[in-house]
This record gives sequence, C-alpha cells and structure tokens, in this order.
Amino acid sequence: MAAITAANHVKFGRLEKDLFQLSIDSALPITKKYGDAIDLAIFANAYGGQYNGLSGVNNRLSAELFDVPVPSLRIDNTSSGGATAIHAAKSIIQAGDARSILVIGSEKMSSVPTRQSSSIIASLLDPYERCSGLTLPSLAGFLARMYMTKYGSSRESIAQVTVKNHRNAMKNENAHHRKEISIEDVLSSKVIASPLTLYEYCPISDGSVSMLLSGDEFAQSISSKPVRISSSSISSDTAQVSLRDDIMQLGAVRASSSAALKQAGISTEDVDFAELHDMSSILELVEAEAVGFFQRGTAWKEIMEGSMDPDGSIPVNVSGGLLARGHPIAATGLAQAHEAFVQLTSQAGQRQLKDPHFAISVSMAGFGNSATSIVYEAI
Amino acid sequence: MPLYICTGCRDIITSGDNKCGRCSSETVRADSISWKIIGRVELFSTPEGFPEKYYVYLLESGIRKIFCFSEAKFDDDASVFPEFIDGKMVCVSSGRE
Repeated sequence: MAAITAANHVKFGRLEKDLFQLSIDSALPITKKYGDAIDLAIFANAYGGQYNGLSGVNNRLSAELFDVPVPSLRIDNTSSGGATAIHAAKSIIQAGDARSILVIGSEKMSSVPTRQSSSIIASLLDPYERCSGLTLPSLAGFLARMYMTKYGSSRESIAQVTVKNHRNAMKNENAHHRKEISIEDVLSSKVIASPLTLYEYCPISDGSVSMLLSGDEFAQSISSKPVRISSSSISSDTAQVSLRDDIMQLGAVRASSSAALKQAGISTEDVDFAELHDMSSILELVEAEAVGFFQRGTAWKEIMEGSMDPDGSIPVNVSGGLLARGHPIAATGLAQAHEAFVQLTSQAGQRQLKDPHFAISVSMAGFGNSATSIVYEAI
Repeated sequence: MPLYICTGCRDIITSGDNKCGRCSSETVRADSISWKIIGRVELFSTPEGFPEKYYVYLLESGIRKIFCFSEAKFDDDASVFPEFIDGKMVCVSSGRE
C-alpha cells in the first residue's frame, strides 16, 4: 500500500510566476523537510511545450529541489495527468522500487490568449472531430441539451452546480474564484456553447500542487497523519466521441470508479465525500450518476435538494471543484487528492467535513477519453 | 472533397477509395446516406482557424454518428450531409448546386 504523507497546494489563479517557479513553490516545502527519503520525482504536466515552450522540466526540477538530484520523469494524460501520476507513484511504491515519491502537478495556462488556449486544449480531440469545430466546451453543450431533453431536467438545476461549487470555494484559500454567485448570475453570463454559459465552465488557471507518497513501512515515520491510497484505477474510452454508443454515458468514469471502489472493498454508500471532474457544470451531474451515487437521470433533482452540499448525503467538490477552485490541467488530479488529504486529516479549516473516513476522486482526460479514480482512507 | 464512410469499422475515409484501408469493407459516399440532425450547439468561444461564432451539428445515419461544422442554422433533418471543405468537416445542404 501507499499513503499520502505530505501535501502542498499553491493558490490557483492567473499568476505571474512561470511553470518552473510555480512547481518549485509547491514542491520545495516538501523536499526541504523530506528530501532524503525521496527516491523518485514524477512531474505531471500536459502542455508545457505548447503553453510555455518548455521541455525536460522534470530534470530541471529535480536538480533544483534536491541536494543530489533524484531520478525524475514526466507524465502527460491531459486533464487527468495529476491523478495518473499518483496512480503510477502508488504502483511503483507497491512494486518496492521506491520508498517515497514526490509527485508534482503543474500547469501555466494564462500565458497565451484564450483562442490559442482553446486550440491547445482541442488538440487532444480526434482529428476528424477537431475538423468539425468540436471543442470540449461544445461537447458539454451537447451533453447538457441531451440530458435536459432525456430527463426533463430544469436549466436551473445544471446552473446550481456552479452556484454550489462557488459557494464551497469561498472557504478554500487556494481557490481561483472566491465569489458567491446566484443562479441568475450563471444564466445571464455570456453563452459559451449553448445552452451553457461562462460560469458553467472552469476558468483558465495557473497552479501547482505537490505531494509525497510513501510506502506503508515509511509513512508513519514521515507523518503522524498519513492518508492511505486504498486503490486507484484508470480506464479509457474511444477519443472519437461520435463513435460511442451513447454520448451521454461517460464509460471510462463508470469503469474506473467501479474498479477503484471494488479494489478498495467498499461501495458508494461508504464514501463520505467526492471530488469530481466538473470541467463544466453538467459533467458533475453526469459523473455523480456514472460513479453510482444516484440513479441515471436523477442527479439534477438531488442537487436542487442539497444532496451534494457539504451537509448533504454525498458532498461533492467541497473544494470548489474545477469550476471555482480552477483547473490548471495536470495540477487538478493532485488538487483533488490534496482535498482528500486535508479533509481526512482534519486540516480543512472552515470547510472541514464531520469525521470523514473514505473519499473518492475522479479525474477525466478529454471528454471521458480516459478517467482515473482514486479511493482514499483515513488511517 | 467527398467524404466516405466505411460500412464495416465505420471509419471516416477521405482518400476516395471504395475499400477501407483498415478493414477492407466497402465504403459509401457520405452524400449517399440519409443523415438526421440529432443535436446542435452554437459556439461563441472558438479555437483558432474557426469563425468567432458557428454551429456544431451531430448527425446520425444507419452507419454512424458524426459531428460537423456550419456557420448556418439548419432545421431540415434530411437535407444535410458532412463533407470536407478547406480542411473542415462541414454540414452541406443536399440542395446545394
């Protein structure tokens, strides 16, 4: 088994510092304290080449962070790169090839204009679908329309995801947006991909999160409050979304979360809170159903009844989620794990949930091209 | 450029070949298939190389679904098909001369 023994989260937002310095800022507090125990550094970053014109950042980071540079590697799995890096680190530790591994997830996105950023992100799509002008926001627009038509959901119920997550982010000092907004604010903001509006998409954010993963035999010597990675699982689906039998089903999310829960030996009823990949408002509802928290087509009713609020039956995105905490692509999976770490060690401050024991995070690449689910347990 | 669809693996073929290079099944021209519009999204935030506002359609035939681009708003289900124009997969009205 492996456990999270330390974590550090740089505040997300449009930041002055570059990709390298952001990564140093998040990782240095950990390496200063535990550098001697670290055997490997994994750097999750998706678009350092396109956004920042950088490559080989993992080696430069290792040289900067350690007295004697440790071996390092970079992982790219687009938006779920951070979670995938945790999965890889856990596997390496379990194989006995490292005592402790430093995992860093960073992205610097605000350095280019929005249209260029849209093109960079869209490069993960199938080439034919990119030729149709398809983008990730437009896929969310299709999903919202289909969901409303099939299940009769109100437009307000989808907007409520944004309202809830912005309210949650008010209590997260690391969030990009800390501003309470109303359903009216959401619905009256600029349409991005009909019917969804600006507030229903995650902002373009810079940020970095680092954490230390350690084997069970080392975890207790590093931290008095480690959080166990009970399980993790990655699933993939076709990147050509139009070839999926049902575009409304996020098959990779369903498969990875189901496998992770099974490996951990628990069910959705045992999960005390979840961090889901709300790149867009509608995705939180569909993912909550895909994980199995609610029956298909019912999450829109549940959110209006407060089931996904911090005091609801299954709190979702207490951190503010991608919509309000922000989504610096490869940092996001680690930000989700950071939330699990602070909640399960009672360090979440004003947003602390009452005595949580199990948590799950779901991090998605593309539009469900891949999904990585991780189950966390308080020790 | 006419667009072909493989009747076996459902791949999109742009070479004009009447056999699929991947599975050797027969291909059919996209404009010989009846396409139905099953979804449409209007985009106001767009990537480089595309207009600042356009539509993406989701079309369905007996073989497969396909996304396509248009600056025009279509409502007539049976009158559009996808075709490659200037590197874009465009929805084209069958009434086009």
